[in-house]
Amino acid sequence: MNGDDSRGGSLVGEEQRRFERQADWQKSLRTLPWPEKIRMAEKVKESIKQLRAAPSHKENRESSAEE
Amino acid sequence: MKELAQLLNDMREVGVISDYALFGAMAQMRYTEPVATLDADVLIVVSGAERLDVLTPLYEFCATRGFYPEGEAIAVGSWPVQFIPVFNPITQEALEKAETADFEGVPFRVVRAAHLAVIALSVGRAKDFARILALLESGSVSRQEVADLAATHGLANEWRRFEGRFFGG
Repeated sequence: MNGDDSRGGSLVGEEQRRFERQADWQKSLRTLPWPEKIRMAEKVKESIKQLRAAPSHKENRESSAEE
Repeated sequence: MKELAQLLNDMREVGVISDYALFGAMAQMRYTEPVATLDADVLIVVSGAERLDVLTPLYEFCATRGFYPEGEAIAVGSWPVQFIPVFNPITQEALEKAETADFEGVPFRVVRAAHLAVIALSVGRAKDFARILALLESGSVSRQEVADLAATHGLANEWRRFEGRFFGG
């Protein structure tokens, strides 16, 4: 049982470190040049537009509207 | 975005607008990590603003440059751009005190971090609060600076509520 707990604790620790690395990576994007950040936002914008245009998105919106 | 900077500088030079400053998410990204946004927001002061159709000369000028309306915005390159005449003292001051940044060699007027935060505070949606938090976290503006500017513009209560909600103060 203790072994399981310890393995569970280790997994939680690893996930925690993964989140921390992710957060550090996101924060590091602050230091990019402004035009580069705008270019990244532009790519995200295109993805959002494609998602919104997807049939599944439209169906979800329509069913939400009916509720 | 470089196209937009050039367009705005040209508009100012020929007198279609007196001044401009980029604000909203695009301006925020000078200070923070990139954020998702669907358009660019530009504060403007229009020359001859006594006209009712204040944006007509601006739309006409854009058309001469090959930029046309797309809904309530004008498509400039890949970005829909919303031109918003200054509408209250905080937006007026934000524009007057904007910085001239360099965007790939083109001067680009951009609203400063403290004004971005206080404009967001005045609007008060969840995404505006997220903007304030991102600006504070980036270190581009301090809580005291936002508090002082908010108080100047009659938003001291809104700022206190914000601090109470997010900082437990």
